[in-house]
Amino acid sequence: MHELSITQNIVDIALKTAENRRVTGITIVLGELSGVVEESVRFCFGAVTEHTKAEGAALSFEHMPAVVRCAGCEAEFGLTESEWECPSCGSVGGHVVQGRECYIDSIEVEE
Amino acid sequence: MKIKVVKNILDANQQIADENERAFGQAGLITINIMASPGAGKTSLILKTIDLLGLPVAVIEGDIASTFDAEKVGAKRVPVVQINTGGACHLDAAMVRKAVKRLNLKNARFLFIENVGNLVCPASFDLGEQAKVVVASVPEGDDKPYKYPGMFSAATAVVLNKIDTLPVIDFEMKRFKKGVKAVNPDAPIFELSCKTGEGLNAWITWLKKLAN
Repeated sequence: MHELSITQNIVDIALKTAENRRVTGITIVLGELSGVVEESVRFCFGAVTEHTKAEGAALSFEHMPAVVRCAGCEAEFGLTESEWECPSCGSVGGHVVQGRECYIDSIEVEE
Repeated sequence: MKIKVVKNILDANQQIADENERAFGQAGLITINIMASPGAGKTSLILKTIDLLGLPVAVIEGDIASTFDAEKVGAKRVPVVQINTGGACHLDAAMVRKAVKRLNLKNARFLFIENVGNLVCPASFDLGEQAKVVVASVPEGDDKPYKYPGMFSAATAVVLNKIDTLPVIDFEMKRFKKGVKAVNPDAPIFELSCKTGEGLNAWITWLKKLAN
């Protein structure tokens, strides 16, 4: 439960990028393995933005499922089953190539 | 108006972590971030490692509250500093930077950082460490890598502690290892018992290799 500090970081980056303009929207990309929970960020967002130029901004989230590249055949597959095996060659797992994302993609500011 | 940002939300932490990493590198210090759930044996592993490593060690203990762990480590007469996060579920790079200033690292070759007991949040926060070590333990069950893939995929190495309890606990080694390999094919797995000492040699050898 570190979403309060995460949310504070999100708001800090957005306000800095906005350069004193009002922030009306923030788009956040979260990977399945990022450990960050959308609902918790939404919960914290109101409190963190109170009396700032990001107050009332719309939050949108893009969620990236975890994907690994097979250590055997290099096929990429999602970690959707409980015991992860490559659907192409049957090898177990691989290197995580997607799912760790935790970044602000863009913000909307008033002209 | 839309402005493209594409900036890591943890960028502020990452910048301090990068500074820490440079400082540790310049000091010739091997820094190991030890992460696990509460009770897996992080402190026991550090205590055993101090006994067996034969190289000077310093320790940062991270806990939400209390100084029990720092006292245990301090009894080994190694430099130790306790960070109490006061509720925060993980250590971050700024906490480590601050703690390091309170440590006498003059002779230290290794710095072990015991993170807050938690298999989720610590994985997201780089501290500037050279290696992330996840400690799992047999009584927690063989399903941990499947339930916490974020943590296990971030590990440089995995320690499986309390193997002395294998005869009395339903734990399928094959399933555990498969789970680690599934998200992290390169991480070595050290099966050991801090209680009996079994398996600790391979762990110590791995650490010494990092120092060479």
